[in-house]
Amino acid sequence: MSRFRDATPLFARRISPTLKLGLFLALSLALLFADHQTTVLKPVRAAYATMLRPLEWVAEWPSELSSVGSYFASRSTLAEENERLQKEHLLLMARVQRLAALESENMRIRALLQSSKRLSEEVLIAEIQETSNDPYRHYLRLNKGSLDGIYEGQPLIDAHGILGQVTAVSMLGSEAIMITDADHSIPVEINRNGLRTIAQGQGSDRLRLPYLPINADVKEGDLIVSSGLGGRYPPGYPVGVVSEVRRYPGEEFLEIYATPEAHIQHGREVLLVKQPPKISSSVAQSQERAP
Amino acid sequence: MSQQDYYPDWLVFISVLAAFVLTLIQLPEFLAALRPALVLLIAIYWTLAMPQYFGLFTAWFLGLTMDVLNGSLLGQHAIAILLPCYIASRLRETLHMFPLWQQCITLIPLVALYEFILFWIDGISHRDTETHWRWIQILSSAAFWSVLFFLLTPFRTVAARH
Repeated sequence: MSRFRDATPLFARRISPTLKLGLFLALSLALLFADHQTTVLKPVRAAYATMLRPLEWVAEWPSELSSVGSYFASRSTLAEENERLQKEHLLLMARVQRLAALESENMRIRALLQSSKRLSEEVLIAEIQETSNDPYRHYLRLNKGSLDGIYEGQPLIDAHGILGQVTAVSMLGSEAIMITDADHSIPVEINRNGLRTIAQGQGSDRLRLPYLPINADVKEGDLIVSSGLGGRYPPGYPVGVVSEVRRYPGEEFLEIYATPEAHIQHGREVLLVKQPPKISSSVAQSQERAP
Repeated sequence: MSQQDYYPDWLVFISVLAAFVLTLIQLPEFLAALRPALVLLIAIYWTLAMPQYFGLFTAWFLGLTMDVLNGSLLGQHAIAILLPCYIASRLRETLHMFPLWQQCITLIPLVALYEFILFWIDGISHRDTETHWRWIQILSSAAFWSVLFFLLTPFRTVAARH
């Protein structure tokens, strides 16, 4: 038995280092390709990263005990910083006091408003997951769906104004068209004088207000708000500001452009307004899909 | 074969762990640029010192670990550590003859290869890179080799010839 064990094998069992190198190189390249082009390796990476977590904890230790930067901060700079912060604190405290007064005033005014408003709207926050890559299609994908009570045609606003409406709903997500999309129109009125019109999306970053007669009272800087006609959008929300009014003598209509109030290109969150439907949706559809 | 060196097993383990931790520790920006490629250095050191124990697979695996910790593409650091280690293992007998300062100089092209592979794969996969700072690491790494040498060689025992 021991004779066999001691005997040197006829063929070397050990792989030559160069072959080994080639093998590992090939393996690495395959990994690189797979990791770059696909998501197959994600779970593997995540599992290994979890196993390596203790290593990171150890590494985070020193920076938690004391940040390295503060080692080098001298006493005088600290004192200076302290003084500056004290001043800032005082200033901010003064401002906060005023804020409290403003807040209570705001509450009172809001309460007044609420009582005069016929329907109060319920609002739901959704996150933008994706925007369309095509620059001429203005669509958003949201992370709330029918499970959260989202319905087709639900208006979408942000902190500054109307953003669009929901066009397709799945269980966990939804798709919304923005007011700037070329396929979208919204019934609006000029806030200053109640002049009714429609704001059409252009597929660019501005809206067009057609069908206003040449003698209509529209000026640059006029605020446009939703009129609520058609029943799709709640009335009174800001839609845009008139940015350009062109009068062509001899033409029957004005050419008016507006920039949307809502921050079309910015932000990650949108508000979905829930409102009881007032008019049958077919009427609303024909109103809003006007050419 | 030349003489076999022996190091305690725990030293290999501890030094590799320490290299990873020191790589992960947050440093101010000017120091971070100078941070030597510790994992590479450790891998080369053990490849040279204990080839029967620390082979290409281990070097490759350390690279993969580095990739997971760094969030780089899987295989990027693996290749970058594997190749210099292979070359070092080929030069093993020569490197053993060299005095320390010559070893440091020999390390410059090895670390440069490491950096170049990282840089190259970054470029191919369109990840932004800060080129200028990357090359400083070569010199600091080569210099750090001497520190590593002084830290680790005291644990060496040379086996008696059979």
